[in-house]
Amino acid sequence: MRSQETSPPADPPPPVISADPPPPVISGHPAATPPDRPVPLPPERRAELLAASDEAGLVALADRCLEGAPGTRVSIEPTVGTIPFCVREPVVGERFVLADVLATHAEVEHRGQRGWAMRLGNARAAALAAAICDAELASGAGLAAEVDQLCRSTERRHQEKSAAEWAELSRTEVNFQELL
Amino acid sequence: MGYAAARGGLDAILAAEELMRAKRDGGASPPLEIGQLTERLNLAVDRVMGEAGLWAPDLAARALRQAEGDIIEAAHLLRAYRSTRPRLAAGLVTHADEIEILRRIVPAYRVPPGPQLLGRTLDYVGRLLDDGTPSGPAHRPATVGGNGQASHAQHRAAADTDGHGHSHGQGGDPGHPSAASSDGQAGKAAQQSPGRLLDLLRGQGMIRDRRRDDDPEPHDVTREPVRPGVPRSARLSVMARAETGALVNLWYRNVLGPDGYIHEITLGEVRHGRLPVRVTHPVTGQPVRLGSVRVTEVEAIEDLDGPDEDRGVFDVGYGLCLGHNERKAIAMANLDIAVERDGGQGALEQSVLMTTDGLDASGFLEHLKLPHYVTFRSMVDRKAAIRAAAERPAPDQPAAQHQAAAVSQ
Amino acid sequence: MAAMAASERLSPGASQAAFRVLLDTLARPGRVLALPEPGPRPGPGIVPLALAVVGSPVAVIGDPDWQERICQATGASAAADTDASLVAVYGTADPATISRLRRGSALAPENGAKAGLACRRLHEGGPGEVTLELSGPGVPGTVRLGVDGAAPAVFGALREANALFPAGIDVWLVDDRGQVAGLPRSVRQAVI
Repeated sequence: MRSQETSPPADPPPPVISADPPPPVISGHPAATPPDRPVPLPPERRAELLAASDEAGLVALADRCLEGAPGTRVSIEPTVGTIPFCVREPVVGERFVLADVLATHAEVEHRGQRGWAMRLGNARAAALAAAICDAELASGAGLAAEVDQLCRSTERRHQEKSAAEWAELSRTEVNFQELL
Repeated sequence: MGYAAARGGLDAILAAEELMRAKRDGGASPPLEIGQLTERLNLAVDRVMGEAGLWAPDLAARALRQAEGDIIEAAHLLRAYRSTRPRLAAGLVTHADEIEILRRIVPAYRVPPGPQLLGRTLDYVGRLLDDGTPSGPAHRPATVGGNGQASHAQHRAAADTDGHGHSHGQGGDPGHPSAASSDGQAGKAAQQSPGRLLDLLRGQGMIRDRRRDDDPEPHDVTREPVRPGVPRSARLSVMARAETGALVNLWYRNVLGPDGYIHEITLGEVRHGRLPVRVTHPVTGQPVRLGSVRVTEVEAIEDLDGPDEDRGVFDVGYGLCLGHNERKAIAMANLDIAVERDGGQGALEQSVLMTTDGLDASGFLEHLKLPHYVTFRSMVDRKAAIRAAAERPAPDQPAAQHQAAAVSQ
Repeated sequence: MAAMAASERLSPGASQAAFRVLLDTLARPGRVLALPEPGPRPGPGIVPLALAVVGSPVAVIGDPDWQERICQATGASAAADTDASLVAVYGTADPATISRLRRGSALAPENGAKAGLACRRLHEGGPGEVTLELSGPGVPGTVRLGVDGAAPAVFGALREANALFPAGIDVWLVDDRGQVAGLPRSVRQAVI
């Protein structure tokens, strides 16, 4: 076992370019200037944020959306099912199925829009609520602005949580002191 | 010892089930809440998910509670539940490089790309049992040297922010929006998903390159049976859902035992972090990140030194499993490269594929408890016949008739 | 915005009941059993609707509208008739279509296609515009099945496709009233 590294580390390796889709770079926000009016969320980002929103708030908002626009139809009842989670490993670069992930899927027809939602876990009420809010926001009518607000605050909350978590983890980073 | 066909026991079975429930759910202590399991016994919950092959923290906690802490029984409950669920979507493949680390160490290399981040670990802590006495070791104030001070208040505040990836039923995390414009955020992203030692070594030509040009469909072990000769994707899936002890002990036997395997393994990456789960949006066709799954990932760097091997390079084994379960991922990575090097000469691949599943093994084992009255009775009869035949001086007609009479009793 | 068409997805109860009918009719060739929902819908599409899962390759022939509805309801992928594991043929089936369907092989008979074929009316015990005589596994002796609204040549094509048992195609006939008869690859059938 060598007692110290025999050669200095090479330059940081170039970013790994994988053939799979990169993490979504989907927000209307321009790079530098904060917009005066928020750019509407694209459908995928809407779905992501509704999938992450707190259940209680989502359900309450969805109930109000229903009151505002009767005639909502559930086209796909909240269905708890699995998604096979496939990972591409870095050694050979081949895909394998790591496990199933439990998720709940629901679709509605609301305000003339197709509302789609998928949330991780066994979350029937939340998935249905998210589908309703998805359609509401897509329609631009009724409580669309509030749904948008809920999405933005979910995004903020996630960023704050993420930053706090990283701050805490960073304290466990090892800084070696070379012995002279 | 006569044998008569019999039936019965239904009342006893129902009473036994009732007794189980009463003991499990009754008693003087307060009922177990799901949050207590996902927060305080999170490693057991992780193990249940890993051995069931299903990411569902709240349900895994329920299963663990229902199974009274029996991990294989809980995994059984979870797999049975999973078998009743439809497949919702195909899911987009996630590259392992997308991991957002909660912990990352590289035992082989002091200065890998990105941080050596200890994260949440007991690796360096003395094993002092907290025996509950007020002045015992667990109650002394925390001391932190080196990187900075940590007060109890900070610890508690940090703990409240749910900083370690626990799922409290809201499994979603929406990831980050557009590419960050600030250097700070870009730097953080690079730290959170650091480059690999593997890529560093590859750049220096030190890794045996087994990367393929094609991209075969992964074998689905839940739909097609697994037999030796299956592709590596099947092996990885099998190990990912194998019983932790089975993998650890198989590895241990492999390293210490009589099979003659010589391994010089150094660990490359040991990571605990989150991988994003994505599906395709049905209307736009774009990826939607539903949330993330927590995994443990290990690269095992094997020093190639066999007579037929290129001794100028290393080869690498890979382990990945659900939740925080380092010993399983390490065993898996080691076994991956061991099977690769074995090339089918020994029985190692068979052992990995066929004997490491917790449910398969314990199911077969525990079936022995079911009544085997007829089986055993027939064995007793055979023994009586053998003994009767042995007492005869020589085989002749009367003896044959006696034997026939003894067997037909 | 135009209203969305209702999803064709079967409820768990309907799915189970339809599966049972498909299973029973395949196990007892010549029996005619009714699907849970009487009437002309969904017709032969009941086969992929009840049996497809996410990603199953499905071919719907003779009705592009049903192709889309079935894929949306089940998550199945649209496939060519030569590649599909589950097939629904609307209108009058063409013998050439039958000949093109996947047959699997002796080592992998499970790869043979399962197909629903539309017809107008089924008559248990016969006769019909076309009368089949059936015998073999699941059939007590011989029985007759009458089929209205199907070309006799289709059954010849089916016989030919199933000549190399265990490879072959399993077929259900589905009539306007939502009744089903099964012709598994193991059955011996002839037009009389």
